[in-house]
This record gives sequence, structure tokens and C-alpha cells, in this order.
Amino acid sequence: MRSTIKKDRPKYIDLSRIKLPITGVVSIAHRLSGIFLVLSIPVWLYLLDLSLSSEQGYEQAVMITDSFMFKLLAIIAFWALAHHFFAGIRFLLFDIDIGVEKESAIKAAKAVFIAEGVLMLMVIGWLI
Amino acid sequence: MSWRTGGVRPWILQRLSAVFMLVVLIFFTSTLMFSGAANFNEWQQWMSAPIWNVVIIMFWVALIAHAWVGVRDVFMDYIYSDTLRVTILTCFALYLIAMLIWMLRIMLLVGV
Repeated sequence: MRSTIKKDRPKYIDLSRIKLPITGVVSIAHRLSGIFLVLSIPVWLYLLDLSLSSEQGYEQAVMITDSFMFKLLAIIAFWALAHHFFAGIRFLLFDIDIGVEKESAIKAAKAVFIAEGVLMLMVIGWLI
Repeated sequence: MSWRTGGVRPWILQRLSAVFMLVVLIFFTSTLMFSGAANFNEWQQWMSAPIWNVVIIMFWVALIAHAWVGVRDVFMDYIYSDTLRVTILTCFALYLIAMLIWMLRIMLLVGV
């Protein structure tokens, strides 16, 4: 069943020529940030484990989080979390019929990027 | 196949875990910011206090359930080969179970 449907479907997969609307960008970024956050779990668990293991472990964890490389990772992870957080709220609001209309869906998508942008500036300012 | 991969139950689980994590994230970060843990002892006390200890364990359980449903949906959308999809999802499930055990080990041993 599925294979016949796929065969009949017109294919247009030149990604560079597809203009994804802002609502689509929010959606795909929600997926990508989700995957990234899932894959980053071991980093956070490792730091949690280390910081709670002993006094020396705590100091070591503080040292790791003070390093430039970690801050870079933290900024990316914070972005992923911020996007997942705000875009997630938007999707939850859809479920209770808020912002479903095309115009308000676009507005909400813009609001998601503005909110995460503001939060990211705060986080970067705090980390540097 | 139907109840495992389909439908309403995972959908509801995804929403409930999302709302729960939203609330915990807001409370956790604001509490930590205002009454922060400045050293090892404070940090350890904080994480072993019954309220936070239980809430954080529940947060991780919600997160792992949320991650399972979310990643499962993504793989179901993009991987058409049954064999490949089941293989990847099995590996992913093992990964999440390992993370769950690691988290429980950390959280249940705090301050013991």
C-alpha cells in the first residue's frame, strides 16, 4: 500500500529550491533540537554524577563547566532547549485550538524565534 | 503493532510529560537562581532534599518517556525500511534504559 503511494507521488527534493515557511522552520527545528537534546543526555548525567560524587568531583565539574569548549556546547544546548521549550508551548497551544489559523500560526512562530533569541542573548551574556 | 506504534496513548503521554517538564524547568531554574548552591555541600544537600530528589527523578522519567515517543515519531516518519527502523529503535530503547539506570543510580545515591 505504502509503496504504491510513494511511487505515484511527484518528487521534488531539491532542498535548495524549497522555500520552507517560517512555521515549517519552527517544526523541523523542533525535531532537530529534540534529537540533539536526547543525544546530549550523557553529558549532563556525567556532570551531575561527577558533581555529586565528592568534593573533588564537584571542583572538577566546576572546572569543566568553566572551560571554553564546554561553554560552546552549553550555548548550543541552551539554544536547542530554548527552541524546544518555546516551540513546544506553541504546539501545546495548538492542541487546545489556540493559534491554529494561518496568520496567528505565523505570528506565534515569529514569537518563538523572538523569545528564544532574547533568552539566548541573556544566556550568552551570563556565560561569557 | 497497533498499540505499540500508534495512536492516542503516546500522544497523550507526550503532552503530559511536556507540561510536567515545562513546570519543573521553570521552578527548578528559578529556585536554583535565587537560592543557588555555592559549594559542594550545599549542592549535595539541595539534590538530596526529598522534594527536589523526587521531583528530579520524576523529571528524568518524564524526559525519557518524552524522548522515546518523540524520536520514535521522527524515525517512523523518515525510515521506511522496517528492519532498519526496528533495529535503530531497539538500540535507542537500550540507550534510554541505560540513561534511566544511570540517572537512578546518581539520584538515589546522593548523600548516602
